[in-house]
Amino acid sequence: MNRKTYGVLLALVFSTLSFLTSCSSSSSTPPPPPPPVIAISATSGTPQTATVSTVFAAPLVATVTTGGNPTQGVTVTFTAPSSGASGTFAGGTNTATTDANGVATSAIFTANSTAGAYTVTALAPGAASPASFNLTNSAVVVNSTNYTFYMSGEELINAGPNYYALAGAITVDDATGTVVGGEQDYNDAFGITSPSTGDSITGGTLTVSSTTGAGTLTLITNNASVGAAGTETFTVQFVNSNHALITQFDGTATSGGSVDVQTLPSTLGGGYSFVLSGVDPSYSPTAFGGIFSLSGTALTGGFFDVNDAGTVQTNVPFTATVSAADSFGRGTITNAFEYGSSPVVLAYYIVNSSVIRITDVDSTDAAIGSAFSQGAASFTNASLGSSVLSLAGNPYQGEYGALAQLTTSNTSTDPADLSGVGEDNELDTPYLSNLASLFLGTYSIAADGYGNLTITGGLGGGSVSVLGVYAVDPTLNLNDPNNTTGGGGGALVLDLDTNLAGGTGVLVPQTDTASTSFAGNYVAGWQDFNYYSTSCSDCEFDMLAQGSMVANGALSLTGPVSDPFFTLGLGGTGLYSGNTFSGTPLADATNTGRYSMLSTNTPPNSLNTTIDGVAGTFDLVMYQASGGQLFWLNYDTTLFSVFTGPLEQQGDLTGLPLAKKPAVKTQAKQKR
Amino acid sequence: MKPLILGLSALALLSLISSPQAVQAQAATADTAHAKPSPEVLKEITLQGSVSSIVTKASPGMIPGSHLMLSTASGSVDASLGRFGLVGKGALSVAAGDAVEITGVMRTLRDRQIFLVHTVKAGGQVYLIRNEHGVMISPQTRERLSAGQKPAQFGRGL
Repeated sequence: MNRKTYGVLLALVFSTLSFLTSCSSSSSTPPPPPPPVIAISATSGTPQTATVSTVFAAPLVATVTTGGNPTQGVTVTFTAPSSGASGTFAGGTNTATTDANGVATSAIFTANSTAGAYTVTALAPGAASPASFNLTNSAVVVNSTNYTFYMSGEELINAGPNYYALAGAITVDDATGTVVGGEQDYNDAFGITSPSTGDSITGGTLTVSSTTGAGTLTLITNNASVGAAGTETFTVQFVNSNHALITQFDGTATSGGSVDVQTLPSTLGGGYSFVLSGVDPSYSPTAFGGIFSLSGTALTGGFFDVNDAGTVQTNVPFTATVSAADSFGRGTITNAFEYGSSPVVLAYYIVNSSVIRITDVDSTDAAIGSAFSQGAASFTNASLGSSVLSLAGNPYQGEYGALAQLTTSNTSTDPADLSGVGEDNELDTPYLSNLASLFLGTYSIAADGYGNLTITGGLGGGSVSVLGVYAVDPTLNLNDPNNTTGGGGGALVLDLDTNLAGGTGVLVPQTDTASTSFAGNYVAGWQDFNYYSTSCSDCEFDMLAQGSMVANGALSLTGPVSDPFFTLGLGGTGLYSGNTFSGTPLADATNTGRYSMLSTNTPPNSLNTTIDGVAGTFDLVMYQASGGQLFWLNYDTTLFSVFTGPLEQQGDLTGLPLAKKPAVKTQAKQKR
Repeated sequence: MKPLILGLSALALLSLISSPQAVQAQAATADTAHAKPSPEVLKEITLQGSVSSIVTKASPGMIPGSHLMLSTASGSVDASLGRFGLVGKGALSVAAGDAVEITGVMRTLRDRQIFLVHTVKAGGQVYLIRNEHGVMISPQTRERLSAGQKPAQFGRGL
């Protein structure tokens, strides 16, 4: 190889090395940082409802961030649908510029003349997706009624059975039964939890028979995860024009609860007693109860007891932050409780100045219950007299029911004494007491209504022995919070027995045990949990019924059954209407106020049922607080089933502010 | 979910679940007007044996739910697994002939001895069936335990 060749080779090597070095140098240089992400989100003003052709109460507010930091000076464009239900911005101005906090506030927005739900978007330049505002134009309603509803039970959807709780409030057009708006909070703590603002109810219907009070409530929500693609269907049974029992009746879930006419006060105030039951972040049963004082949005002086999966704490002080209620009576309660370091957020729905429904709206835990005013009362042990005690486990785990009547004595001492008779059906413990088990015990109620009750040796030898007791206004009816005509007073009850976590109930004054008073028309309901089916052991079915009771004679009821888990082994959809429940309760000659319907009575007098055309029987006991309200408990010697529920005397339905349409009946199902 | 994870989680739950008793004691105050009686504490025993049979549907006379029928040195034992023992992810997995160790409470119900299972140790794994208070462990609870969720006890959020 000559010198010239070497020179060429060196040049090639040099140029190659230069190229490689250049490439290497280029690849080691960090890439330029990605541009900051521009994002826009709806801050407030969603969801909202306004009557057609009226102004929405709140402006639409969006926040723009760049790389997570608020961005000032960005022009945000709000866009409403060009046709159908929509609205217009004042002055035709549909843009707003963000301030130093990145906040853009729209001009006043006015609904157009078309009723319906729609979305207004807000877009910032460079943002990948717009913010959405869910708005509803509600139809003009001359006369309407607001209702508050709440329920809990077992959910089939979302790979159930899961626990679920549902509370909300709706406005119903009195003339048509159209649901013109509302809000709700649905929570299974297992994947379906309404957003922090709740679900918006954008429509629906309420149809009720003016003769029986039986009906159907359909709610159209903006949450596609609940019910059937966002539409929930319930069966309702009105007890009077202000109060109904309710069960979800669409095959997605089943439950028991109450619907009550809502009257929004200017403010809430005074002492309250409360209990809630549900599941904790481990999805174990939990229940808590206690007392607190409210003055507007200030919650002070609280004490609570809790039975969380068997770990009991009592007498724990608390305060809370309460937000003002919105137009549907919904607000939030925060900073009151926590699971470990996870705060519990509660939503509340006002029924009236004396009663609010409360529900846990966290995605990891759920619970539901009520707070009842204590009125002006200062309590003593004498505040508790003869009473009916009704207890039930929470709907998902630890199913049991206990029912009793008791009398009090030595009320000037502390503790005072009690004695009574009752039954205990602990399906999951398991345990079944003897019939009409006698018991003794003690109790104590402080001046603030916070108390406790002990049944010596347990009710009928079972686990029900230690209860938290929280006294309520002597004029308040715990079943029917708008009922001012009787049946008031008593206490909310929390089961503090470690193996009965989740149990709650009521103590209702027993004022009339005459069997002749148990007469007239009644509405009844139960939540049953049973092991009839191996495909869904210990799952729930619910019934609602209406009919008549002849004094010392026959009870005859008719109504729907919701059995989405097919625990009864029947066919079809699991939704059965026109079922019958009949029999002749046997008054207990020894324990006045107690009745039995048992296969072991002479003659046998079990409650005869025909559900979806299939005959069956249930053994049960009943206790009468008064002619106006009784309770029943399934007494199942096979320990395969338990139910509890109320029987409420039906009042005048002529005041029902609803469409007087006959109740919708489902088609008869094919028998298996 | 792997049984080992469940087993460890179950042990973690057992250890954690006992600690709130101290919290409970600390929470008690001298406010006698609000004093509450203490709940009863159940006593627990441990049994060893082999699985005679697995009952998924209780026959008449048995308490409902699933059961393990065990042969032990002291005779046959009807061990109740309740509603969830054999249901869902992370459920107990045993077969006839397997050696097991169970903890729980023996009760007499309708003149019949029934063992309410707290834990089952099988194949080196510990399966939590009920917590120490007798509360049944659901598939959802097992799922959360296997995901590392600790049983956070309810308390005051201040």
